[in-house]
Amino acid sequence: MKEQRPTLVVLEDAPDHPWRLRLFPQPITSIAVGLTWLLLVNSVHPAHLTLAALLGVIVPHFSSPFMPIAPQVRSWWALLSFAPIFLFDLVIANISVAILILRIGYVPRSRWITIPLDARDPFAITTLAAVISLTPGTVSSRLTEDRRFLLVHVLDCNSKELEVEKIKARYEAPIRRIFES
Amino acid sequence: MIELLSEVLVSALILVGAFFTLVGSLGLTRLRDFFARLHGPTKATTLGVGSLLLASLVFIALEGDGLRLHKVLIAIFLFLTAPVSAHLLAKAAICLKVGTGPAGEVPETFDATQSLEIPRDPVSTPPAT
Amino acid sequence: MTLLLVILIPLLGAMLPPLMMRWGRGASAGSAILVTLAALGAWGSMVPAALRGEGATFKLPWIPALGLNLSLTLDGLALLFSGLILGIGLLVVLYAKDYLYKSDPMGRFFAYLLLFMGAMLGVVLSANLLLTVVFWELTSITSFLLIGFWGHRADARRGARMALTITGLGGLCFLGGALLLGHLAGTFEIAELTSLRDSTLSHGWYVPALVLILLGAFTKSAQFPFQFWLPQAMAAPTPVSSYLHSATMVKAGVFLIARLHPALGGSEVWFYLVGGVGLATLLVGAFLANLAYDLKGLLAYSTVSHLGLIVALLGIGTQYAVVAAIFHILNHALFKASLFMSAGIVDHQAGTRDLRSLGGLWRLLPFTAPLALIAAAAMAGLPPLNGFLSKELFLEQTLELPFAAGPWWLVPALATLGALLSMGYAVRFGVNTFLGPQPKTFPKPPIEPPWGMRIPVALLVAGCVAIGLLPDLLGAPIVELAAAASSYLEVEGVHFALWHGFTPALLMSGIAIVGGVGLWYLQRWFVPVFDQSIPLPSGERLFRATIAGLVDLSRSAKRAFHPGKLQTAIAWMILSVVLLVGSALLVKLPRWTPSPADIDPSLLGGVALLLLAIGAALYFHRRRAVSLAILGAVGLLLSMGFVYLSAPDLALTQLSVEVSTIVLMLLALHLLPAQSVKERVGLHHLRDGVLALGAAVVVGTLTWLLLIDPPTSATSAYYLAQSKPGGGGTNVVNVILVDFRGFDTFGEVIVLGIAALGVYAMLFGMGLPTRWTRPETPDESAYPLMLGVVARVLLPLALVVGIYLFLRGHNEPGGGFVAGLVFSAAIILQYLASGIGWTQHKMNIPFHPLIALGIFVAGLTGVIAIAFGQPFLRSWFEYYHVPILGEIELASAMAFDLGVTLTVVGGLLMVLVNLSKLPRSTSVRPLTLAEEED
Repeated sequence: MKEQRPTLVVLEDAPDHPWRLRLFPQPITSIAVGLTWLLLVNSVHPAHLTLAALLGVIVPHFSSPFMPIAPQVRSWWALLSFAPIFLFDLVIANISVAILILRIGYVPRSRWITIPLDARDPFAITTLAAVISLTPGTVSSRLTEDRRFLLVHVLDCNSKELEVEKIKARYEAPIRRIFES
Repeated sequence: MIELLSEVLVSALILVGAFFTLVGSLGLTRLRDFFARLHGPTKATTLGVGSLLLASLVFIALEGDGLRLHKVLIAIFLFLTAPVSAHLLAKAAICLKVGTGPAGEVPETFDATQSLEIPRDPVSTPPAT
Repeated sequence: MTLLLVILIPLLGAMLPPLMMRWGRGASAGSAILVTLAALGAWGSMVPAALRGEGATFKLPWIPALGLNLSLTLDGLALLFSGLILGIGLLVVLYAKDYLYKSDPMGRFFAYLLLFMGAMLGVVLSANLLLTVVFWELTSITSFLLIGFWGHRADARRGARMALTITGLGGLCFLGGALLLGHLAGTFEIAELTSLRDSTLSHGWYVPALVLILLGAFTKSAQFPFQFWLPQAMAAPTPVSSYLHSATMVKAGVFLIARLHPALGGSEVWFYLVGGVGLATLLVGAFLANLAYDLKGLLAYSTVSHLGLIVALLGIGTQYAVVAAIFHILNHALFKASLFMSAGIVDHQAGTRDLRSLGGLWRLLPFTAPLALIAAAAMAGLPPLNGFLSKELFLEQTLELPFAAGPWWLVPALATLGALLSMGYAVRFGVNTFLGPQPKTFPKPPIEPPWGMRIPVALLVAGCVAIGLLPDLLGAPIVELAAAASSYLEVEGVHFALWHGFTPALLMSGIAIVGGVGLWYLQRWFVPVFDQSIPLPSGERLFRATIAGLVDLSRSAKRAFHPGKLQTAIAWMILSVVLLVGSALLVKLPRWTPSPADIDPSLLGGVALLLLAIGAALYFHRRRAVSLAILGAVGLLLSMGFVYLSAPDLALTQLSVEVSTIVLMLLALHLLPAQSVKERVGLHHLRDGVLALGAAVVVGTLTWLLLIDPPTSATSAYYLAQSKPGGGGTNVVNVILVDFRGFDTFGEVIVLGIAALGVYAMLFGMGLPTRWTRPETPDESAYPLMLGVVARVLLPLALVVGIYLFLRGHNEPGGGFVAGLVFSAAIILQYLASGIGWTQHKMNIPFHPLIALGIFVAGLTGVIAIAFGQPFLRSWFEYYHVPILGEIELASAMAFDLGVTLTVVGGLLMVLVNLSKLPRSTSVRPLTLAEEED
């Protein structure tokens, strides 16, 4: 069952990690793992803190090979400031779509819109697509092979251009700030 | 007084959650084509389930059993997975050429034929241009 | 303890030779020699005491409730036999090292040989009749492997099968007889059986028990009329024949008769049955040996005949008859082993063992030929060799029978005839092979073999001569000791001498020798006559006919029940379940007093939903993917039901099993057309409908009974009460799984591993690709970026959830099985998201060892309990107080659960990965509708 090793340059093959990286190959994963544990047991008892730390060290060693490129948050500030925008839009969109559905006899003007992407980072693209889908009224449906265009189905669309503009400015720009620069 | 307030709060959260879940389900029947119906479940999982989880969190906290933060995990896992399933459903529907309704034909760029070859790491390999 | 070691060293040491093969054949053979030497050393350390009559004993209760003890003894009989097994075993190993051809897998050969040696030692050292049966069966199986060692040859396969069938059936008879005997005597310990001889003999079950046990012994020792399997077994490599058919396998039957003689012998039935069969075998075997052309076939029939002689002596059963029998066991082992080895040398070096194309090898094999001739002379019973002594004793004993058997001269005359025939085939063997004219060519130009093959022959022949010349010194002590152990009478003052004066036995010997030579002179006329015109009555033909009849019978049974159509097979299965369970219900139902039960309306609603969903699945059954999706919904509904009924463990398990099953089913569906065949409505629909209704009624009734009358047994109360104090966990379900019924779980884990391996083996032959072709670009169609990224983000989190479920399983819903499923689901997601090739490369964990490791860990947990003097898998737990961290519970159940988890992960992923490889391989493609209809 031996597989031929891909010739691709993958990050985990980089030689001579500093000890910090050897112990924590992916610090973000370690933190996420520890937090997940604490949330699961719902306790900050010293025993669980120890266990969380232990899992934070062990689990990434199993999982990190599957994630050759770890997500890198460039700007935590951007992340924090994006969260309220997203939550606010979520509520607004939920309400507007609810109204739309409840308006009997109204036929929504569904449209396909194509969003040209400036984001390159896989995590940024994924987050953008996820945010679009989570916001009611838009579902990200397909990515082109070259990852330069995202197809979005809009439930009720007045202007394609306006919708694309809104998504690029309101979501893509902050997400790019989080992951890319 | 506090008790009454908390009960009102919890009830309101439950009602809001139930309302949006109901509307999401209504959407499934009310909307005509596959892609439009896809919007229904995304709503149910965001505000609907979110409010219900919040209600449970508040209720247990106010009952005096402390904060049960498991619910946060539920929300995280839902927010992680729901968009992917919607995405995959849409993609499959495009491949199967399901009727698109008023949205019209899928733009040609996205109408790629399916291939079953195994790629290298599909995420970290930069696409060829 | 040393006694146990003598058995365990070869049994465990059998693993060495195959392992040593990576360092070459020399290392492999060397390890086999070392193992044999080690066993011989352990045995040797006990010999002095055993010779003084203070043989070691060992006893360990195994299943005391059944009377099965691991009790061993080294009395005289066991001493003689174990010495022969180990001594000749060592020589055979030496011989085989040079005998085996380059193409033979040597490691496997020595492994089988050592296993056989261990089993045989077990038979002779055992002091418990049931234990003897266990080792007896082991010898049958290992000898099957040895006889069929050249499995590429049809005759080897046939011979091995026949040997296994005959000795296996005999083994069953032996088991039945042993059980009867143990039941009537109240013990299985042979020493106690011996002391109970008088009451046994007068018991009504004595005869059936005796007949059954003797059937076992006779089949094993190839006694008439079962003698035919032995010549067929000559397809084995010669070292095997030399070992199995001189000192060991076939002697096991003789050993058993000798061993039980003090417990069962001395009756009239014994005398006529054992003595009669023995005498008949002696004559039939000797006669057939005179007709054989195959060198090894001749020796095989001669073995049959000599075994008959020993059995006849044991049948006579007087002190000196037993002494003669034991003495002949020793002598026969020596000369027959050396004769087989010589025959092997001839076969190996000349390329043939057909007497018609042999002759004059005296000049070409100047070392082997004289040795073989001496051994043949010992077989013929010529002075001054060992064979002469025991044959004289035999002839003498036939004159003093304890019971009447026809006119006084009948048995002695027959015995003389046997000796005469035996002289005849000995001359035939020696002269036709080594003397006389040399044929023009041999298939191979014969030269002397390596010393490794010659020395064992020389040593054995030296033994024959030495015992012949100094019988009192070398033979008498051990024979006396062994005979004392195999007779219910006192045996004392055993003396052997070459010269007894002019006795009737000497006269009989003389007649036999002269007559035998005459017979050989006449053989050129009478052998061809038998060859061509006279069909000999043969058990072999009967055996073949019986087997063919059985095969035909099972074929027609299969045609009726399983004509290659799944529907028919399942219909029979359901029908039998309905009939069996239904009839049981009919008996039970009238006695049932249902208690009124509250019907929960919301539960009813759930059931209605469930029924609707199942109905929908049925309606869409031709569209497979749709019905699968609906089945998934049914699974989810079920797990909700479990939640509602307060069975969170079941709900968790149901949920996670559902996920994996749906993925597996989808992969399997990929191989089938998207729609199933539309069938014509026919009579079979009526049949299926009736069956379905019947099954529904039975299952429904069962469920109803269970629901209206919930079991309030003491068991559940016990489990609930003992879970925390006894098992250290508050989750009763988990404690039951890992503790109360841990043995069941262990078995299930093993079954799971085997099932996974079975799937692997089944798919292995289907041409699965081992390597993937990789195009240059990632493919958004097959592996969407979004799925890939989210799957990878989820992996560590899912692993944490799995660990959480695992750790809390002992006290709250969760446990090793669910954790394993969660781990698997997380990894399955990686396969789906990133493809098999990439994920497999990243996984870097081979599944086979993972399954093995899981079972090993689980088993080790159980074994550790034994090490602490507890029963297998008894769980252990302790609470520790650690500063700051607080109280921590450590439980052995956790290690057991870990084993479960590992096996689940390994098994599930193995099945999944191999199934998903299938659709992509070129040789397998989805069936078309037309093909499926066929």
